[in-house]
Amino acid sequence: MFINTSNSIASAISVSDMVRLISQLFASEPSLNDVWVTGEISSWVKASSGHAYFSIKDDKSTINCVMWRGSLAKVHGVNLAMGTQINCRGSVELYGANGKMQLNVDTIMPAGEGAIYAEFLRVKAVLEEEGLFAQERKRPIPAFPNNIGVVTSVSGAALQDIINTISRRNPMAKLWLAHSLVQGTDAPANLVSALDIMINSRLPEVIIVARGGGSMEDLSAFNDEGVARAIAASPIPVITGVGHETDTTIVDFVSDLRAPTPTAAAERATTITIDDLISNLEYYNQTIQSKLVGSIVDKKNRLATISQHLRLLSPNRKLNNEIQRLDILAGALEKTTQLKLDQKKLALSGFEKQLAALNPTAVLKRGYAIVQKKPSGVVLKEAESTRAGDMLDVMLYRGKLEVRVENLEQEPLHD
Amino acid sequence: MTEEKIELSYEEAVKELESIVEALEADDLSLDKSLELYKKGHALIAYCAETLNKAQLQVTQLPVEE
Repeated sequence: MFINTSNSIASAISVSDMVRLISQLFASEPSLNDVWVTGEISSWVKASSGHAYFSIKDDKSTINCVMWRGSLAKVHGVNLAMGTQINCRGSVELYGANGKMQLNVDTIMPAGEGAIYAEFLRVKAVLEEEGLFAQERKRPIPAFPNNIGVVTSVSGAALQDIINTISRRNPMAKLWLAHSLVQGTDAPANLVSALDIMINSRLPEVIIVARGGGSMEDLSAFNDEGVARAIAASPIPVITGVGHETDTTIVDFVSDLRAPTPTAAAERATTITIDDLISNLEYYNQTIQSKLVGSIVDKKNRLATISQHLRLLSPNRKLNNEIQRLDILAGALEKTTQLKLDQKKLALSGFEKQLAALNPTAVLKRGYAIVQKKPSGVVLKEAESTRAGDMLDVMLYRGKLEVRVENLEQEPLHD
Repeated sequence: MTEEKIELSYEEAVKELESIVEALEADDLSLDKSLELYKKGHALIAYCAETLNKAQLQVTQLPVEE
């Protein structure tokens, strides 16, 4: 609709037309639509309808604002009360009923320090909701990486700390550096592209993203949603070491390991140190030495066992056994022989007595004589065995007679 | 014994050391073999120690688009 206006009183337009005209003017002016305005809340009324009527001001001016219930419900992290610095986005319009200009607000964000913190909370909530902070996403950090990537500023103190720490703990490693701004408006995009270059190089086994200490605003690049997402998406494990011990940035939540400082990050990337390797070598040294000594001792022991075994099997021992057996037999033999001998001796002495009793000399002693025929020496038992003229020997107890037979006389038997 | 030149990475040397320790642990080795392994192990340890002593951190900067 087009309204004609002129300077002529005859063509005066209605108030409504005028309001409509102004409204059209506002609507057609891009700089008055979807525009961000910053100011301090100077009045705040939330009507029973749920809509909010308020005003914002700076040191010179005030502007009335309206925010519908639906938009208001989406505002978080802002203290909606007098005195709060806010940024609000809206379009300028004229409210027909009273002809007053107002800002129809659809978004309110905190301003100043509060804005940074609110953005921090927003990003944190969004990423957490997506599960990017989940513990099960965290990958183990290699204990002894050969290649370590570092994304930080080449001119920062963080890099020096990292180089010093790694060259002290693991000088065997290769350190790959991708420079990035770590502060300022370009820092987030810079960090993302440096990380990208590092990842695409496929060199490192672990990446350290680091920056030295600073104010919360200095560290804000590490609270950037894009940076956080790039770290979360890294196929290589990432250790973050941003700021001081007390600082926690969004990237710390999404990284695989959060270290409190750049130095600590470098330590976490070198869990196994060169000192560990040296003591490991000492262990190997001792082990192979003791194994060798052990093996020699084993062999000696085995030798001793074998030689003892051999001694057991030696013919000498067998011989000795035989000798012993012989000794035993000999002993037994002697024993039985002695016994027999004794018996014989005993028997013999009996014979002796008997013999003594039969000794012819003993008879001669008693006055008897033995007569033997000459020259045969046959002992005469009866007279008839001789004839007159025979020569006889007569043996007496002492001495012998040689006699001649004169006469023979038959005598009866004595027994 | 002739001094053998070792051309292994540190990791390979350590891996070999481990296998030597393992072999020495098995008690079916001849004394000659044990001594040979021991000598080899000793050489590897010396080599590794030297590698560690000589190690120096290499820092390389990747090109970044401006």
